[in-house]
This record gives sequence, C-alpha cells and structure tokens, in this order.
Amino acid sequence: MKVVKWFSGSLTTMFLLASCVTINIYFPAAAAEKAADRIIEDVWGPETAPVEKTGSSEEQQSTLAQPNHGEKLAIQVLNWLVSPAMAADANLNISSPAINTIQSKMKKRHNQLKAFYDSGAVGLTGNGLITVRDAKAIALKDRNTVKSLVADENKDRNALYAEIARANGHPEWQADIQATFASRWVKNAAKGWWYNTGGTWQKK
Amino acid sequence: MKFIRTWLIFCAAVLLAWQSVAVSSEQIKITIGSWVFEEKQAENLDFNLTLTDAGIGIKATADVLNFAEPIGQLNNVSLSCNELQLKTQQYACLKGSLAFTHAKLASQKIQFSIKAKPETANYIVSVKGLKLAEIDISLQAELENDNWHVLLDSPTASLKNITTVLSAYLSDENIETLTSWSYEADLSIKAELSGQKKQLQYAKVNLATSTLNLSDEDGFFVAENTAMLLDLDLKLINHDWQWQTDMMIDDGQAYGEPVFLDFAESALSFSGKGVWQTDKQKLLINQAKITQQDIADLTFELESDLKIVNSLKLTTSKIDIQKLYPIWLQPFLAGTAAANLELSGITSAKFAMRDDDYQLTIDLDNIFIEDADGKFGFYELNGQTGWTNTSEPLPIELSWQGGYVYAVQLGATEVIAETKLSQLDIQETWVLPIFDGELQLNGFSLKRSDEQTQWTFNGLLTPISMESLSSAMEWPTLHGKLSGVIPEVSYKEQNIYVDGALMLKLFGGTTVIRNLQLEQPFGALPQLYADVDINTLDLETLTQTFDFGKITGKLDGQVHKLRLSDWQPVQFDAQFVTPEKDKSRRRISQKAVDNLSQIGGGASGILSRSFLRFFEDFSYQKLGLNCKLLNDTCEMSGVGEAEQGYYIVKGGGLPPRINVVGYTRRVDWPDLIERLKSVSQGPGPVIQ
Repeated sequence: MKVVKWFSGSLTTMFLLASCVTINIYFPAAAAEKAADRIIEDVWGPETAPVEKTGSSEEQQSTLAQPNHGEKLAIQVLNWLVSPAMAADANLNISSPAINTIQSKMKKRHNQLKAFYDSGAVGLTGNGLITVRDAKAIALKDRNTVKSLVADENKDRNALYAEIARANGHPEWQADIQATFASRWVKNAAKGWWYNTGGTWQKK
Repeated sequence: MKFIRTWLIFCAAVLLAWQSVAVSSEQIKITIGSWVFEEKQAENLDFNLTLTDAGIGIKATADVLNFAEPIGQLNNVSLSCNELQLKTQQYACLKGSLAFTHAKLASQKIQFSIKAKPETANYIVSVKGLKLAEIDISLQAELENDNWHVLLDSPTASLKNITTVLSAYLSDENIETLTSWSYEADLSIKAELSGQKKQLQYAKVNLATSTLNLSDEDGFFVAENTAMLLDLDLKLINHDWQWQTDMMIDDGQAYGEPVFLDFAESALSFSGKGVWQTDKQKLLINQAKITQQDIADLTFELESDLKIVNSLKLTTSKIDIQKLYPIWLQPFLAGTAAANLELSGITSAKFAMRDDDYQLTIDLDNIFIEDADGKFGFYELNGQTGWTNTSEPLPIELSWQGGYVYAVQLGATEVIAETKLSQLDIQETWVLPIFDGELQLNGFSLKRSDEQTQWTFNGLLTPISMESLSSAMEWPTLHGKLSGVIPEVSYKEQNIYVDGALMLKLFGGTTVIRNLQLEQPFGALPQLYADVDINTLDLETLTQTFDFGKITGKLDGQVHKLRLSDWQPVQFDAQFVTPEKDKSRRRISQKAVDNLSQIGGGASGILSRSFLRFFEDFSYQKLGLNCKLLNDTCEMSGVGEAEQGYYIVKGGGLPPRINVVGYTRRVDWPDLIERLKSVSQGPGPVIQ
C-alpha cells in the first residue's frame, strides 16, 4: 500500500515537475493585456471606449494553478527553484526604440484611419489586423489610399506583435500576443466601429 | 433584337391575315368565331370595312390572335387604318394604329404606316410609340421576301428598363448575375439591323450615355456618372460574326479593384475589330487599341473562348513611368517595398502569351527610382528586362549609374543575364561597386514559384575602406578594411541569409561576421541577426580612435546572437576580454580608468582626487567587460567576481597596479549608450 502511495506521490511530483515547467513559460496573458491596452490607448487616443478592467486571464491562471494540499509543497519547492526567471517574465516590456517607432507611425496613421473606422468602411479583424469591410462606404478616388493605409497598418501591426515577442526574449509568443491584441483592439474600440468575430461583422 | 423581329413578324402576320380577308365593299362587317390559317389562329374576329374619301377605312378586332413563337399570343387586338389604299398587287396604310396586350410586351398602342407589295413580298413599315418596358421606340422596317432591314431609334431609354425587357430572354444564370449588380443609365440608342428570316445578318449600333452608374454587390467594380459613346458594327459572314467597335469614355470615374480611373482627367478610348466564331464559340480580337489620354497607348491581339484567354499579344507605347505608376502599378503594390516610389523616365512593354506560355519584355529608358522613405534608390536605369516561363531565353541587359540601399552607396553597374523557365540567371560576373570596393556576384539566379521570389548568388567582397563605410553610417571615423568571401547569399520568404563569413580588418585585429541574416530588409522593422567574433584587437589603436584614454594590450571579443531591430541593437551576448596568450605590454591610462569606471556605473574623477593621480598609467593583468542585452537592459559582468561587484580591470604586473570594479549589474541600455557617448566626447579627468 505504501509503495502504491509513494509511487502515486512520485508520479504527482513528476507530473507537477512537467506541468510546472509549462507554467514557468506560460504566456503572461494579464501582462500582455495591460501592455496591449497601453499601446492601444496611445495609438487610438483617449477618445475611444474606456478600458474595461481585465481579469479573465488572471482568473484563468489562478484556476490552473489551484493545487490540492499534497501538491502545494512540491509547487513551492519548484517555484523557489525557478523564481528568478519567473519574476522577469511576469511583465511584458513594450518599450524599445523599434516598438516606439512603430507605435508612433501607427498613431500618426490613426488620424487618417479614424474616419473610416467611424464610417464602417474599415473594420477590425478577428486576428488583430484591420481590413476594408465596406468598400462602398469609400469614395472611389479614396479607395486606394484607404487600401494602402490598411496594408501599411497591418504591416506595422504584424511587426509590432513580432517585436514585442522578440524583445521579451520569446519569439514564440508572437501568436499569443497577436491574439491578445486582437481582443483588446475590439474591447477598446469606439462605439459604432465594426469588428469581426467568428467570420461575422458586428457593430460596437 | 428579338423584339424587333417579333414585332416585324407580328406586323407581317397581321397584314397577311388582313390581306386574306379584305373584301371590297361600301361597308362590310365580318364576324368569325374561330379561324385557323397558316400558322396563325384567331378567335372572335371582327372586321369593319368602310369606304372613305382617302380610300378604305378598316377596323379589325380580335379577342385572341395566336402566332407561332416567338410572337405567341396577342389579346384584345385592335387595328385601324383610315387610309387604306388598295392597288394592283400593292396596298398601303399611311396612317394606322394598332393596340394589343401581350404577356411579354404588355399593353401596346402604336401608330404605324405600311406600304406593301404582297406579290413581291415587299413591305415598308414605320412604327412610332412602341413601348417596351417604358422605352419609347421608333422604327422603320423594310421587308422583301425573307430579307428585312430595320432602323431603330430610342432617344431616352433607361438601362434598367432595357434589362427588364431583356431579362425575359436571358438564362437564369444571367439574370442572377444581373440582379447582383446595381446599374442605372439613360441611354440613347440608334440601331440599323438587317437579316434574313429569323437570322440577323448585320447590325450597327450607336449607344450614348452621360450618366452610367453601376456597381457590383461588393463595390469592387464601380462606374460613377460615366459618359460613354459606343459604336458597334456586326456582320455575319459564313456563320461567323465580324465586328468592329469604337468606344470613348470621357467623363465620370470608375474603379475596378484595385485600379481607379478618372475619365474627366484622362479619357479612355477603345477601338478594335475581330471575329466571333459561332461554331467554336471563340472570340478573336485581330487588332485593338486602348488609349488612356496623355498616359498610354496599348495595342493588342487576343484569342479567347470566353472562359480563358488562349493567346494574347500586347504592346504598349512609350510611357512616362511617373504617370503610369500611380494608376496601374502602385495599387497592386500596397504593403510591399515598392508601395511608395518616386519615379521618372520612360518605359514600354511587350507581352505575348499562348496557352500557359508567356514572354514579357520591358524597356527602361533613363529611369529614376527612389523609395519615398529613402530606403533605396537607383538612378539612370537603362536597358531591357523581362520574364518568361518558356524554354526560349530572353536576353536581359540592365545598367544603372548609381544607387543606394539604406546607407550603402552603390556605383555604376551593368547586368547581363537571361530569363527562361521562370528563372533569371546572370551570364557574366556581376560587379556591383559598393563604396570604394566591389561585390562580385557569381551565379546570381532568381526564380519565382508559388508567388514567392527567391534568389541566390555566391560572391566576393573586395576590400571596402572603413573610412567610407563609417562615414556613411554616421559612425566615428574608423580605419581598416571590410572584405569577405561569401559561399552563398540566398533570399527566400523575404529573408536574406549570408552563408560564410565577412571579414573586417579593424584596429590591428580581425573581426569575423558569421550567420548573417536579414529579415524583411524593406519591411516595417528590418531585423538583422549575426554572430561576431573579434580577435586580437589592438587596444591602443582602438582607444586612440575613440579618444577613450590610452590602453595598450590586445582584446578578444565576441558579440553572439546579435539582433538589430530597425538597425538598432536590441539583443546580444557580448564578451570582451584580454586574450590568455597576450604577451604585449598592458597599461591603462588614468583617463581610460576613469571612463571604464563610469561605464561600470562609478563616479568620474575618483582618480584625480586620490594620490593615484600622480601616476600617468597603470599596469593590468586582465581587463574585460560582458554585456548581455535583452529588453533594453544590459546584464553586466567583467573578468572575475569582486566583493559586491565584478572586475572590469584586474591589476597585475609591475606597480602601480589598479583594479576597476563595476557594481551595477543591470544597466539601462539607453543610459549605457549615453555614458559611452559622453565618455568618447568628454574631456577626461583633470590631473592636478
């Protein structure tokens, strides 16, 4: 019986060891949301919708990390072992010369794009980019200007997501950062702007 | 066309019926319940014939008149003519009226005149007031035996009404396409048609509008307030239609994804002739010309089965590229490196295609290209370039007088190459002057597959002086040479990989750059990756160059995992240390000690305040500094651990010796850069 208990305890620890490593490189979703909000607020300016308090991902993390009594000790030991690295990862740095350059380009471009968000001509896609949603809402002579604004914006957005991931030493986070931004752009969007969710366009 | 034919057959049929029952009498009234004759059938026919001053008056009514298709059934038919003239073998009605209702033609009330010679089957008919879906139509028709000739005029026809009429004769598929478009136009139509029996043999159509508005469902193809004139001639010869057309659009705007045309600024005309082969269902355009006023002429020949283009030959005139680019090139280049160019010069092109094979040649005459953001530019670009997927090679000869890519200056060069099978290969070594050196490219090969461009070459970089390079990069003036043998440079998926090594002869040592990779060189944030190894730099030369304060000895170093984002260093793992086997004299001056301690986070001028100020320099055993840069923070360390810090300089050898210890382990990278700048610009410690 003791053997079984020892074996199951060891197995739990091994499992935790493995899972703890996973937690250790877990994408800092809450930090990413805050970072995204800061950038979005700067790019779009304060006139867009007020930022809603985030918390879903923090809850998600704490739910994931809810161990039973027997597992707590192992987690504490492992946390102690890996704590310095964890501390560094908890925040997401979004300030580097490259990020600042992109951000200021996007901010400048927003002055031109805003009217097209307002009119519904341009909408937010589900993957953190933008697209011409309703070409008919744009005068013929302005169509290619808008198309090129959209192409430039997407080029910058893709570069921004990649750079935040790289600047934080985790290029593999790019997709997560893009997904976080995708939801935060929508959350921060002004009333009346259009966004795509699951292939359907919706108006805020 | 079917309406006109329908109408003519109908008129002829009514007249034939009329002719069959016309009997001379002062007043005759005939009532027939049901009558079948030839292919016609009538019900409740009433004829009233009266003699008038001008001839015979006739009034005929029928509840139903049935004709063979395409006329079909007419209801409530009423026909009257007050001036019926009956002569030998001919009759005429100079002023008549006809009313009926018809399933497709709706209710009609028309005025007509007719001159008929039944013996020779010759009829001349003139009709006014025919309304087809609210379109007023006047027509004159002449029929002789089976031949007919019609002149048709409709000064104000609405396009919407025309399509309503036509929809009765279109397939469901065509109707579906029509309903997905919105369109509106007032048209003036004149047509001359002639044919035999049911077969149209000649048509000449003149169409004019000043208000054409149309758009597809998504707004990808739109015309707004377009003014258009169209002439079309069709002639049936041996079952094939020979056609000739002239079209001119000189007002309004149009957008066809992604091209925008403003016809008021530049009128567009099209003229062409060709054949529609009915049995093969093939369209041949033998000779066609599109002219965009003041911009370009384009002549072409085409063969198509309407689903695909089987062959095409196209030639452009000499075009001012400055006018061509914003309309015809830029819209296709959004988001690419060529999205925003400033151009001048003349270009022309030829394109030939048959089935899947094509050849494109482009002539360039004194072209100037510059990226609006100043990322690249080329001047006096001349020659011929092209592309083909066939096995027949096309020669390419291109030259330019100068150019630049970012800060890299390019000199005059000429490329001799050929293209075949979707690939371009240089025929001779391409010598590309860079600053005062040369990049010799051998085996340059470019291909496109799956919409991706790839190229490779191997090359040799002959020495470039660091003076010219450092000046272009706005660095402090450096002395030395950059050269390299490059086994392979390749470009794939917007990334450039440099295999092999670039060698820098700098400060008496050798610096080797390996694993050089460039991601999206013209993207929003170009990324450069490299590993740099530095061997036995002479510190004396280095410190003199930067006015750092004299240090003698050698220095080894490495900057691995270097990443530049937008050409700024953002990540690396750098280590600099005195080589183990260095036998040279190792001395460090007061100024250098002070500067090094500043870099390490210490205060400046400590030495000058202590007794050590009496010594000009100090001997050292080892010096070194490491910086691991990530996230704008430099993790610093030195040549060994000291109490609460790390040694940057470890004293040794003959006294006086000195240790420099750094205490700050995490340094803000922008701060560090500032410190380095102030060190190299500062006056240094004051020795009293």
